[in-house]
Amino acid sequence: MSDMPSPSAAPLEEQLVAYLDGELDAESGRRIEEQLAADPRARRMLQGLERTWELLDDLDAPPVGEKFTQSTLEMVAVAVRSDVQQSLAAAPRRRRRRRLFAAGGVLAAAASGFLAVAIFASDPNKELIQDLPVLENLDEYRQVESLEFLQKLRAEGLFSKENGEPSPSVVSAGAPRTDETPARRRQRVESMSPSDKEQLLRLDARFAAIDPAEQRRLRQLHEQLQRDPDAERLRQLMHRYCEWLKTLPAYSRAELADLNPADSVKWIKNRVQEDARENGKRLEKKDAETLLRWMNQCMARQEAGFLQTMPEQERKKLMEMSPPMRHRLLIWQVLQRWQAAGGGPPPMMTNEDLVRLRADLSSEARQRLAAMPVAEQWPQVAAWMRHALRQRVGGKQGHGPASKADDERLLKFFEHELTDAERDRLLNMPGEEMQRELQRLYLTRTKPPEGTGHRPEGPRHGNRPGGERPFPKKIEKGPKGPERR
Amino acid sequence: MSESSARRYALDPDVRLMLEVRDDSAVAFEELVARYQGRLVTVLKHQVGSRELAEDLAQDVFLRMYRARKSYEPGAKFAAWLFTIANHVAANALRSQSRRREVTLRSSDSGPLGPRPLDRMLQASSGQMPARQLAKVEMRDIVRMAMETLNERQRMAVLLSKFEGMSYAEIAVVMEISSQAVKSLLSRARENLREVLQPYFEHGDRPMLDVQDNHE
Repeated sequence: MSDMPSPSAAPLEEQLVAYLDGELDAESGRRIEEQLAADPRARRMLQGLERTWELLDDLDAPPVGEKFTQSTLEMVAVAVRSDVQQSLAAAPRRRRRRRLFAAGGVLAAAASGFLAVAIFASDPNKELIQDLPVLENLDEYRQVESLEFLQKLRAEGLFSKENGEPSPSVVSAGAPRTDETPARRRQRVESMSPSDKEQLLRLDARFAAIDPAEQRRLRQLHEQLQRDPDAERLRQLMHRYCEWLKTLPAYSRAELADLNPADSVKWIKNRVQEDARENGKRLEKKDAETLLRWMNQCMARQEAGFLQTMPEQERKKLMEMSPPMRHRLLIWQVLQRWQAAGGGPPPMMTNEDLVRLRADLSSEARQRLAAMPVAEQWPQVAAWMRHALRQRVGGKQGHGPASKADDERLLKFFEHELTDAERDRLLNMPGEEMQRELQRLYLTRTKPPEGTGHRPEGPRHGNRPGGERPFPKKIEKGPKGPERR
Repeated sequence: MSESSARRYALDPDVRLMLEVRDDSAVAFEELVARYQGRLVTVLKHQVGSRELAEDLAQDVFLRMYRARKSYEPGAKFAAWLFTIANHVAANALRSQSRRREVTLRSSDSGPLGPRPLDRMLQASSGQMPARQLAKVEMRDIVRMAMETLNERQRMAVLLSKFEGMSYAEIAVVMEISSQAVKSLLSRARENLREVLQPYFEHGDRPMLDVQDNHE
């Protein structure tokens, strides 16, 4: 075919095209012009290329009108709104309400133009504005069965401010503004910071995921509260009640949730009273440290004697352990025997030890002890001791340097997270096997936030060391476990 | 704002508009859509061969542009950034079509599949009619079909050069290849077009086209 370029012609084609496109440098341009002047074939080729290029002008350029613009903007607005809803709604069910500010900044910032009009067309925020007071109190309303429930709590004298609960000023922050008109509400929402809007949208997404009947109940509760002449005090009570709920472990909250309204007030009352009694066993941190120090000193003095009272095999196991571990386990053993004995001083200890402890405690704790007969003082000390051991205090007292942190983690886990039966089982294992099993339990149970098998009287919700690395690398990888002495 | 950025905005007002879009201006977004929709639809239509598909793809490009707004960094020319997105969108669309058929040049016969529309159209014309006497609409069809003889990359390079007036360097940015590669791509593309069209507009010779699978 005559028009197919020969291999030698190919570079000429390339040069000619680049020449036509103005992409040749001055020198190359000059050379190609010389060639064109001398070579008719090159000129014909150039003309062909140029003519062909002009023919492309005939390709139809379809006009694109305003309608296309509008449908494009609408399509983008819908897609963006969907993006925002997807990213915000944690629940699988999503409400399809339109949100001006949900559709990202572009939509929010538009004062005019189709994009804004398309989104604003049906007053998209109407529902949200209406539900705003419910959304802003969603967490608390969800915890409250009815207005009557709050009134019953008040009648029982529960969660009144006289109990040293949070002051009203703390509470009022989340209280709805009763005098706020829908217009003012809208204005407030529209002037919110982006992060507040995000927060509100999250609440809205959560609300949308709630069963419609429950949504109606929440709206009704809000209306009733608003109308109640004692609304402010009931809101404060509600807030204190919700704060108290947070201190309950998950299983207790579940138990409460299963009760009918009449029983739940009774249950709450019992629980509050129980807590008050438990508080009596609790010690200030400083006293807890004093108590642990005292126990450690006693143990250091009595360890050899105490070990002698143990069966040979058990003693051998304990002697294989690192001193801090041995120390703590011995204290638990003492406490167990002490409890089993049903009163009086713990094994190997005397009333003189108690006198020494009293002298070191704070005056408040000392007075509490002094108010009891000596026979009751020992059980009180035992109760304090259990609490102190479960608190995160005194971790390093009487122990080695910080390099023993691994032991401390294991100990805390051993003391706080295991049942008595599990502890017994572990203590009946050979030293190394026990260590391995303890590590295994630690690693498996610290991964999920609410693992199974925790003792019911374990640490309260939120006390667990969440977020910490579950276990130090050294122990995770080391075949021999923690350093021994 | 750095000095070089300021210079870029001065050179290309669309860069400034896009920066406003990055800062969530709906008005600027609308303005850019209005400015570029026709250009995008034109390039995409000739690239994928269907007006309807081209419009869908153009909308997809604008959506991607909006979603990518926060990561937009001002470049020398806004159009290069936008058409980079368009190039990806078009390539994806073409890939998703199962084994796209391309028309390749055959020197003499109509091939086993029989005459193509261009052939039929030309046969309907009076055999040796010079190009200048063809109705304009027929001419456009011939050119369009000549464009279809190009492979996907050659066609995109031609469209960007012809309709967007992009330099080789800008096409190189859009197509994510070197300027030298653009140069040879365009050279081959234009030579192919010339081969198809020159005999036709010079002598009224009918180019015989056949359909073959042509994968680059």
